[in-house]
Amino acid sequence: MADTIFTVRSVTKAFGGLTALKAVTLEVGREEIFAVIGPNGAGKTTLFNVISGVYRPDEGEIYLAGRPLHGLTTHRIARLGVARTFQITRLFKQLTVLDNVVLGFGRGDIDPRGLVGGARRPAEVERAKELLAAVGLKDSAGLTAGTLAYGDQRRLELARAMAMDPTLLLLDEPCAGLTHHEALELAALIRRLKDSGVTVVLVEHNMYVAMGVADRVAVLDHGEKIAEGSPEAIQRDPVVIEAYLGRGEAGEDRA
Amino acid sequence: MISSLYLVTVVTMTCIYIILASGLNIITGYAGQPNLGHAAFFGIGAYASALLTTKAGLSFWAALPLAILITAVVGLALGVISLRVRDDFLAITTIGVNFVVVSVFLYFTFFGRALGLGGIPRPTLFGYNLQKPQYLVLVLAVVALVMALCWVFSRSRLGLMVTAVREDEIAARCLGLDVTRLKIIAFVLGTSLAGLAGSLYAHFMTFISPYDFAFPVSITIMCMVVLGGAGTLWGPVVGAVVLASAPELLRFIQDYRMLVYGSLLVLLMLFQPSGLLGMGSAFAGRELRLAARARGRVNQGG
Ligand SMILES: Nc1ncnc2c1ncn2[C@@H]1O[C@H](COP(=O)(O)OP(=O)(O)OP(=O)(O)O)[C@@H](O)[C@H]1O
Ligand SMILES: [Mg+2]
Repeated sequence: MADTIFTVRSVTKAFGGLTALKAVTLEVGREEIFAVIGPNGAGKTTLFNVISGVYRPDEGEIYLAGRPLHGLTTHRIARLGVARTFQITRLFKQLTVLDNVVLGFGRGDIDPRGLVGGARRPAEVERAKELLAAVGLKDSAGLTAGTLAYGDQRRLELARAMAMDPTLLLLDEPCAGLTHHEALELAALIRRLKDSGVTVVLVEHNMYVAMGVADRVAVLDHGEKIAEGSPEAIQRDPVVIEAYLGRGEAGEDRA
Repeated sequence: MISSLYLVTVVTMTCIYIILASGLNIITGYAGQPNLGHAAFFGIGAYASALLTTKAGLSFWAALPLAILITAVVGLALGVISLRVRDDFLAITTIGVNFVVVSVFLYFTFFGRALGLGGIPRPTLFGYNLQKPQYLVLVLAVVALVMALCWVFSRSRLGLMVTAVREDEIAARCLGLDVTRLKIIAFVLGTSLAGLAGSLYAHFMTFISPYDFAFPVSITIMCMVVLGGAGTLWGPVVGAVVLASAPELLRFIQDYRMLVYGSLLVLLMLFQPSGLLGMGSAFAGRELRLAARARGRVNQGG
């Protein structure tokens, strides 16, 4: 592993009596693609919510490039370069596809010039269109985001996250609802993001994509990390096989 | 028959309601924050302007900006306190604010108690005392300015960010938007406009009383925004014109005014919940109509 850029150290998060994350520790290298897999309810989305500040961790520490993220508000964490997508899409539905992407630029900075100038600078419109083209939404820029088909809404979330020019990109099941062919295209895009210098943490139920694209994989089960290693090692790990087969949903693809 | 002076009064009041509805539209329409106490800020602007002219001896021209400033400061303070709470709390909080403000006007002698404040001067311009018709010209000019400001806001980056907050707070936060600050900015902008409307009202009527700013007035302003189309530039104007002037001009429905308002709102909620100029309306842009139609088909689950 290259030098560590992102660290999750002994993070615990409980909802009432349910401990969704139990002392989870991860170390992600610079420009690595790191997959987090695990059965339903394992705590994968909770992990993303804790990293991005949507939830506060009960215990533990999170660092990006040496800076602590734990305890910061969500927008501060975003401004430090953490972008994410959502398992259940969260778009600005009544805004246009283009504006959804434009809002990703500038990481939420309230620029006083933004008071009188138009909402989108020409350079931003250009860049937004490039990002839309990259995710396959070239012709949808003028549509209202809420009217997009489900798979397209996920792609738009990805374009919006990319607009933030993130250091760390968290993708929560980006392939859900995509066809096999589309999922492969997305995997290629994720690799290109890595090549452009982004560190990616990916939650994915599509094992073909997760194992194909990830440099390393961690497995969560009942909020605990039960395994970590190369995709090949994880696929052979009896503990992992047990966790999945025990519930009979290995590699199951859900929309 | 309708006298021309009466007409002047109706048009002036309609203009004042346009400013009120446009201000509330920034808070509720664009930022999505329910404010059911907008009339409180209307009242604060009116009382501030009235007191500054009658007790502090300032001219209208000095009192107007100060009244806006005072309302904005109160709006800021209340915004900072109450916008941290959840949306449904905000609705309750603002109702409470409305009742508290009216009570303060009612129970302190300084505010004239139930009798209100009288003898508020009309503005003078170049040594000339503005009477109702001339005052209307001033009010029309202010409305034009307010609409220009709202237009700038609606197409600014700030306006876009505020709308994003309305659409999805968590997504907005995850993009780095300081949601609390954006809500407060919208709240202060909207309440400032209410302060402006209050000052204009005080110097038009020359006499104000606490009940002019009571809770039903807040509801009326909210109805205007909802009727015309929350979150659209011209919706509040249409709503204000319909609800403020139509009942006055069509005298025969005067007695049934509240009945007509109520029925209108029920019909609206049934057939065009986003307002006359909102999504899916025959009056809205083509793109919006298509969007609304497609919305019905698309599965948005996940
Ligand atoms: N806000 C919440 N309040 C209470 N319980 C929650 C909350 N969020 C998650 N949980 C619980 O925490 C556990 C982990 O949920 P989480 O969504 O993180 O799982 P996941 O691994 O993302 O599952 P899936 O594969 O189904 O997306 C679940 O039991 C879930 O019910
Ligand atoms: Mg999940």
